[in-house]
Amino acid sequence: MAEIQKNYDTYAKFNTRVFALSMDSSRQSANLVRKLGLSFTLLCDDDKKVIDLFDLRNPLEHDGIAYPATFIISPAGNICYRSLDGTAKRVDLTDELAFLEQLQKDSGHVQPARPKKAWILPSPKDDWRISMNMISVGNFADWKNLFLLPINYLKILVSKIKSR
Amino acid sequence: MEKRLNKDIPDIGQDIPAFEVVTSDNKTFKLSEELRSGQNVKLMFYRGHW
Repeated sequence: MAEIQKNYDTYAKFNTRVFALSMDSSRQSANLVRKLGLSFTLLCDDDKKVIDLFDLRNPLEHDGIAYPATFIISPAGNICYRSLDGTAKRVDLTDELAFLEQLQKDSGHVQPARPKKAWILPSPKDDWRISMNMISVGNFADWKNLFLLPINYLKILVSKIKSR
Repeated sequence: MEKRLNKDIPDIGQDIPAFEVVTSDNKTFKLSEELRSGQNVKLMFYRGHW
């Protein structure tokens, strides 16, 4: 989210409006907008209609949250870019923005077969949730993420030392 | 992550049916209206407060 926010103007430059959707309520989403200072709109699909429309419901987590994914929809209404992501590995925004730049020059530009992915460091809170998913519902989809746990704590330690 | 159980995830070139949802500021978002502006729409699905 924060990285998208940093690139918000670049998306606008490439004729693209940004929206992020989850099953969170309006109140939860509004809190997130305030907390992260987001300029783009969050969409609230609390009845999961859109998540199901895109077949992105992950039934193993909390009765069905959305798998992380990104779609870019052209003004004609069809998908011109798609990335199906994970907790620890997401679409590389540099790759996505390069695609949008090319699309602006050539409306027939086609997405590379597999978009580039970038590793991200999930928060300790995410690690906790992933651990609980493994223990309570047997969902091991993001087990690789746990290897990043020590790096998370190291990162926090370094930032605390730096802030002193 | 490209390998997952869900089989009907829309792919490149596929049309997206019209939908509408509520926004974080309690307005109505209509995909068709957004697309009518002539801009691309980036739609990111995130896990939210799970």
